[in-house]
Amino acid sequence: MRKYWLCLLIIPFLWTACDDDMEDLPPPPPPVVDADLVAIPYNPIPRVLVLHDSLPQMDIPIDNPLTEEGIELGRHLFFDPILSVDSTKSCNSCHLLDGGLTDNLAVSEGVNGAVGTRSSMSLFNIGFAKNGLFWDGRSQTLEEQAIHPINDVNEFAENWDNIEAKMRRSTFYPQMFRKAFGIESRSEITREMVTKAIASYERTLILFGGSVFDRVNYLQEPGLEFPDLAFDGFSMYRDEVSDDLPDAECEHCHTRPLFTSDNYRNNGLDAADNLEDFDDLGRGGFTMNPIDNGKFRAPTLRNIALTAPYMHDGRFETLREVVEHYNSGGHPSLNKNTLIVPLGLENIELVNDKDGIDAILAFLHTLTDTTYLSNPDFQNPFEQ
Amino acid sequence: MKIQYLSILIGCFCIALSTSCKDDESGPVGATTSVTINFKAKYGDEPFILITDEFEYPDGKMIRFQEEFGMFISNLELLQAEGNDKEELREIAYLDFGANSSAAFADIPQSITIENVPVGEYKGIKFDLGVPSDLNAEKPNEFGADNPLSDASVYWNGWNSYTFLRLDGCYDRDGMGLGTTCNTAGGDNSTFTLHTGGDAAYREMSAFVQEITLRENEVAVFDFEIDVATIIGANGDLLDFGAESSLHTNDINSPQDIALINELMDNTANGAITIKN
Repeated sequence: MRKYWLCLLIIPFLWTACDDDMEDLPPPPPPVVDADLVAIPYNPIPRVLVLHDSLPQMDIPIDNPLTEEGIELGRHLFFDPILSVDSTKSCNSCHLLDGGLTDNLAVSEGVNGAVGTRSSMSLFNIGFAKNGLFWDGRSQTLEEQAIHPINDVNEFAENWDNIEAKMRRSTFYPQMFRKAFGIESRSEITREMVTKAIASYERTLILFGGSVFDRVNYLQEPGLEFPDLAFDGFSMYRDEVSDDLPDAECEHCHTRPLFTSDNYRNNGLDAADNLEDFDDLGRGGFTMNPIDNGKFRAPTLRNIALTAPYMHDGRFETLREVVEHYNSGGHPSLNKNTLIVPLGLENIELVNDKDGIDAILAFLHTLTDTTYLSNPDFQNPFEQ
Repeated sequence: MKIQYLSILIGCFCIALSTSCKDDESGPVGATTSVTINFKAKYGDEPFILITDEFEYPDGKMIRFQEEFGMFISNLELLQAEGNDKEELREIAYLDFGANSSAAFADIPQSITIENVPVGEYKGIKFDLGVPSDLNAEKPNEFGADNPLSDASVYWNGWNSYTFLRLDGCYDRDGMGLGTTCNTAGGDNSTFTLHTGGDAAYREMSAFVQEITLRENEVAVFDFEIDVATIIGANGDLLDFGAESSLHTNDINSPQDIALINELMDNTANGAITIKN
């Protein structure tokens, strides 16, 4: 009996305390009832990607066709920190526009200052990837990839049950899910819809046509040419056989037009006496095949000048360090790629006392394309 | 009497119908089945294993295969037993042995399965080596994601060609053992990155004679082996792996590289691939 009296005494205090807090908050929005969803038209408009002839075909899943409504929903989700446990991190936190869709950190930071072990990868042209995603290729599709950061304690540290609950009680997401997926009730919102929408948005992150390289090489703009040094760099990059310039062996892994081969290679970053002797097993940690240990995905070089630091662990702060690494032939290990060899680029004498390393760097800078920064479709919708 | 004639007539009709529907023992006309073509890679009599195994080259030096062994085969077809008709199976396929990290992995074949192949009698199977010129004139962006030709990593822009065969590894140039020092500054071993391509590298291959009856509901299996030792050293004609610290066939216009590419493709097309069943 005494316990009941105690409860009666405490409740008024609690009530008062809650009242105080609530007074500081804006009035809650009127609840959206399911009947409102049904009243919203469901007429998704297909989005046809207009791609330059040079680009490959994009494989769009049959069960997740591109629609304007799905892409718009995905864009909101991409920029919304609601996906993290404390509403501090969004996809955009690690894939910033200013960072060429990376965060410019060696390893990415999640909620509560938690850090992972790898650097964030650029998402430009990620919709064309067909040999796995992440540095180790552990996700086969963008839809599957989008599942992982939610649960990862070093990223969003949230769980999908909560995400679904947040989406369902949101003041605006149910309407967007209705328009994108035709749901009739907010209870029909699922994690699969969330990942599909994010994947749809990511497929639109196409970068092409704004760089000097594209304008010269693909668009063939009249009067526009490569600077001499960059042209020499391009010749070595693509192994245009020449008596004067060596083969820098770049394009085997960074193949035009996407400037990635979608492959996983050991590029000689670390010396290893045996195949188990890698701090980060990379691809091998996923395939469980030891010959894949120490291999990582070859990232796109489009906008590479914007995405420092470099490599899966951000060990190189500058692009010059990267080129110098390749020029050295890297460190020995059993499964190092056979084309990671000493290149001798420093011995190449070019214009204005520049050498082969300078030329490769000059070429890489022709891949910079900042036109996306002014593309309204890529901007944070909560700031527009 | 009329009924008796009618019965005989119906009986004859049924017999004729059943005969026409079953022209041989393989199954009714129009029946189909599946054909599976398996490829395993070997080095002589040994399983072809990347990285962890070393093999003896005929010059006595040790050799290790590093990362890639793959090739395009094209125009796969079955030869019908009667006449010269062929049953087309697959236009293009890529055989990728890049996962051969152990004997167990090497024992898993690169497998091509073709559905809906007409049943019947066949006298052999045929395919060619490389990418036919009409397909080779296209670039990866011309193909859908499920086509092996859509893979930009097996296309070389500088050649305007797919790489028909890819094989890389490390060679014990100084005879002191391979270790982990391949292609590292100061190392005494040499690497090889053998890529072939260009229309001239395409090889039409002879048919593999193999009488087989395809029966409805029975998967027909062809087992092939590809001997890498033959590809790089057929008939004792050895490649000069030690001539350069990094042997890379990257110039389809240079006489040296053309000769090497031709040798590799000839060796592969003539004797490196054998049928085992």
